[in-house]
Amino acid sequence: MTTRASLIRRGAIVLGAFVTTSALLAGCTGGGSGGGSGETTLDVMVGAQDLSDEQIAEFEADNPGIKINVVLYDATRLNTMLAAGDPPDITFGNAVGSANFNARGLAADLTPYLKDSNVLKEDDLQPVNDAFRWDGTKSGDGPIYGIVKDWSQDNALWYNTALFDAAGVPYLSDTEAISYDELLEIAKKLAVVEGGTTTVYGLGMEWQWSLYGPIAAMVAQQGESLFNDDLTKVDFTTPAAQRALQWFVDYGKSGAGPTSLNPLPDGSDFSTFAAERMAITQDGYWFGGNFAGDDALQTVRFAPAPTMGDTPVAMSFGGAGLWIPEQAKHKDAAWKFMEYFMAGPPAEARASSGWGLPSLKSLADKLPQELPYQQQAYQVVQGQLEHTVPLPDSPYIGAGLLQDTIDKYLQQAIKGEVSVQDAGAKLTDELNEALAQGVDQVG
Amino acid sequence: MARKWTRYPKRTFYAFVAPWALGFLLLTAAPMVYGFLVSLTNFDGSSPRYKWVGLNNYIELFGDPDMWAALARTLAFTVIVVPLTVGGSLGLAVIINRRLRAVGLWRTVFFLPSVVPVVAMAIMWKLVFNKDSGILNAILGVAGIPPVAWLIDPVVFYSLIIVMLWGLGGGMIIMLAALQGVPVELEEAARIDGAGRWAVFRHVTIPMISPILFFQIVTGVIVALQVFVQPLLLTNSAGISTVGGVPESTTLYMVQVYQEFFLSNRFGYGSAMLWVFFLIILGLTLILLRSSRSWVYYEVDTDAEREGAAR
Amino acid sequence: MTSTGTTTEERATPAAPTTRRLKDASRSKKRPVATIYILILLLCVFFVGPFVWLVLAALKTPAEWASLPIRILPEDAQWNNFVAAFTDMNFIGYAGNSLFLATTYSVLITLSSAAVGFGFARLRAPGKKALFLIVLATMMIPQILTLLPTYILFSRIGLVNTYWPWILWGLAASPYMVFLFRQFFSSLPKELEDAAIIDGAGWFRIFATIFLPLSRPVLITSFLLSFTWTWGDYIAPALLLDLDNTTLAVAITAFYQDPNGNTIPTVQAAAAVMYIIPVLLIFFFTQRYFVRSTVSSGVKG
Repeated sequence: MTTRASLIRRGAIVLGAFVTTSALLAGCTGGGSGGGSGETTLDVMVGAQDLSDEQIAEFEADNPGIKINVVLYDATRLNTMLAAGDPPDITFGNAVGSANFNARGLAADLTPYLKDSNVLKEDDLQPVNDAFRWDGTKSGDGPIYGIVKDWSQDNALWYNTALFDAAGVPYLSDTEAISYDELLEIAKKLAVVEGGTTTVYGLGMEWQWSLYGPIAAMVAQQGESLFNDDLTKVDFTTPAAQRALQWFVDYGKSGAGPTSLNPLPDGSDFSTFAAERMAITQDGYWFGGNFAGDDALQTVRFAPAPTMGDTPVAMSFGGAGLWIPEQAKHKDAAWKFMEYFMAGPPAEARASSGWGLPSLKSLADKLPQELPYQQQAYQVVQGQLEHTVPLPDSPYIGAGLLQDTIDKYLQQAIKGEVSVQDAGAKLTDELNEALAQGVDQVG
Repeated sequence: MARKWTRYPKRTFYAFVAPWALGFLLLTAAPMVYGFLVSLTNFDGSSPRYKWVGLNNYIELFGDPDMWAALARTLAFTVIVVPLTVGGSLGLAVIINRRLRAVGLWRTVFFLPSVVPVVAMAIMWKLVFNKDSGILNAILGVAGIPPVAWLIDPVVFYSLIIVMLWGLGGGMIIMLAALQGVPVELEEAARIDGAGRWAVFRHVTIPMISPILFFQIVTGVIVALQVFVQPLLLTNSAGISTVGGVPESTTLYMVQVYQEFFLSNRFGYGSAMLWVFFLIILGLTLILLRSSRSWVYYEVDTDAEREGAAR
Repeated sequence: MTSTGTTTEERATPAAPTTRRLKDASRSKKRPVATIYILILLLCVFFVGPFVWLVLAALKTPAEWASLPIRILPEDAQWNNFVAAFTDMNFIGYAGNSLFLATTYSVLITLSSAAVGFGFARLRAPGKKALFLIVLATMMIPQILTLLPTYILFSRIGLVNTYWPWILWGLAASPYMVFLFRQFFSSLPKELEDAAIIDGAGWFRIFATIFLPLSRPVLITSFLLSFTWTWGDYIAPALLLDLDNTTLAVAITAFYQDPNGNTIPTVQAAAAVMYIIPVLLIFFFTQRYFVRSTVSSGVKG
């Protein structure tokens, strides 16, 4: 009897000790915010590799009293934090897609900060930053709510000259935009299909990243627009939109490139392109950052965005950047971080790495120029700057929904289940329904 | 005055159950109420500008063909998957419940799939099922079969079932624990009486493990109805896809819910869908519980005892 | 023992034909063990195949990984992928966090679920049936429904970015484990507690000294499943923890990217392999404890 009782007692003591220790450890490991007096902890929501430890140390050294706490970017978490009224002080976000937050009053207006700043000036911002603007009814005008960190003209083209040589196809022009119809023809010539499986793709459209982007660009190139003026309705039945949809259906049916019906295993064109199994890919300047290493693919060239109409249009489909939530608790400190990240050493490092075009005009000369392909790419970029426009961004619909709905109907059209006309009509109806709900929610 | 001694004092039961009860109130009941309230609005997940819409979400729900389609798909999926997984994990447990050589190794191998984290699974299965560069089609190609598009309609439904079966190892170790709990003496006694292997299994082993079997069935049904991650893995984007990239035949009910939440930003409508679904699952489980009285055998069944005594 | 024997025999089909008995008796020891091994090997291919493919992927370069026709084996095994996976981020640190969370949570939830399950199985009280139904019902609640309000709750009491939520969840028992323990404890004979009750022992002592030790297989199962679940859980840590103390599950998806945000698949595959191994080892070394329980020896007829 006594042994059993003492057993229980021992067990209880051990358990109690365990719980207490873990409780203490649990409390300790929670890096408390605001340790000493006068110290602000800045919650910065970015990707795990966006901010290096050295950069954090550098910022904290320059700004005594501010400590950085990195919160991993996660869309669900961001929305949850916003809903709970406890958002991060500064967060990652795309310029295209920011209208959603701006229209709901969730983002802080940066104009007063820009006015008083010494390093970050509004007139130094490249036009791509306009996608962060919102005037109450549409994006592109009005006060600015975020700053882009780097960007590219995402509907441009990278191609592998070795594969062009092998197929006997002349290189693309550095200055003249090729038409989409010609592009598809070339892609078919470059593709190598052996008995049912494609060993070399002619053209990759980064199908899984954005369909809305290229289609919107195609429509804009014909002088029209998918959305109406206040971004509450969309129309895929106009001749311009139909032509764009038809092109995608033809592309899908030709088998010249991966679509969501026969996708690449990793969802992006790069590894296939690097393995020399893809001749052309539609990506922006940033894609070139992949080829700076010694053992990377050497036979690459950059070409201006193809066009579907008379107006040349180059577009940024994203524009990754940072914005400050309206309910953030440390907005001034957040702005200091913004200045550091957008105009300080990190911005210069980004520009000279060749992984994207800088958001500030003053940093344009930092782009790398050592390798021949880098020089060639730089020239093409310069040539396209004057007709680069932002992608229309509606706050009443999510980017994910746009992408998936367009994909769904394109799939049906490629499989021949619906005509392109019907696909356009159904797409229009479904998206307009979602837009109406969005308008209702934003109020 | 001494209190009348009772074998089952009420206080003891409540004391044992207290941790769960407290946790339930704070971490489950309160959020459920919150979820119900949200279902009466058109909340979009982040903005404070929402409106109360009363029961509109529920009314819309009953007329939504997508919802009904997803529900039907999910029920069909459950009816197929649960018997296969319960039977399969029992079979596996029986196979390795012997003194085989390196039995520890086999058990680890069978259990391996349950341990694989979601991200790794995504990479793996895409590599296996990819039409052009997947290993499954390569193997089929050797046998002369043309490549199959495993990740699009309609085949993807069956690919999903394969992936679900791959996780049998988790259920297997529960079955193993149950089989280990069957007293050897009973089985030996039946053998001595001349019963064959299958008879012993059917009339001794299964009744003895029937409580655990019942557990597996009920949890199997609940889990199958709520399957959500695997359809996201079996799509064509890198890693875990956006919810809308799921092909139609694997858009199960929870996938549909997540689409409403994170694609259409309709938290109110999504919460209504969840509450309705919860009630459906509850109903199904009650039916299962009812049916269990006739075939589940408990050594200690305090409910049955009380009923017996009352009779 | 006799009473249980009778019950079982009564449940057995009374009219088992005698002829069947003779046939079964002859089929006794000649079962070919080889077929079992073949079956096991086939199953192994099914269960391990994708994993092998993952390990191979971890040893390739990104170009080999995407190549056509499919390369089964890499040209040179890229062990540096594993080194990169380990050093590109604080792998050990995050692994330690995962280990702490998983262990703490699993120990707590196993013990609390055992206690609650015991209560439902062996005790009586008014409202017990209703409460058990509620336990079952809790299993059916999709996690997403409670996601946002749970976050708000923890955020209001300042427990975001700490490990306290897991401790609280651990103490609150899991409906699955409660169900499991309840089923298991129900299958143990009544006689077990009779002797102790006559001796005047309280229920908690009965639970701790008699029933708990007997449920060793279930305790280990519960610990193992909970550990595996927490080790692989992404949603809760992604929502509640920040970069400095998050778990390996989140870290693996967030790091290993090239400068433009694309994950390097081969390094991530290597990380995934290293991520899986600890749980495998734990399982391999604990699975010997799924030993034949000695239930019958506790109650000598």
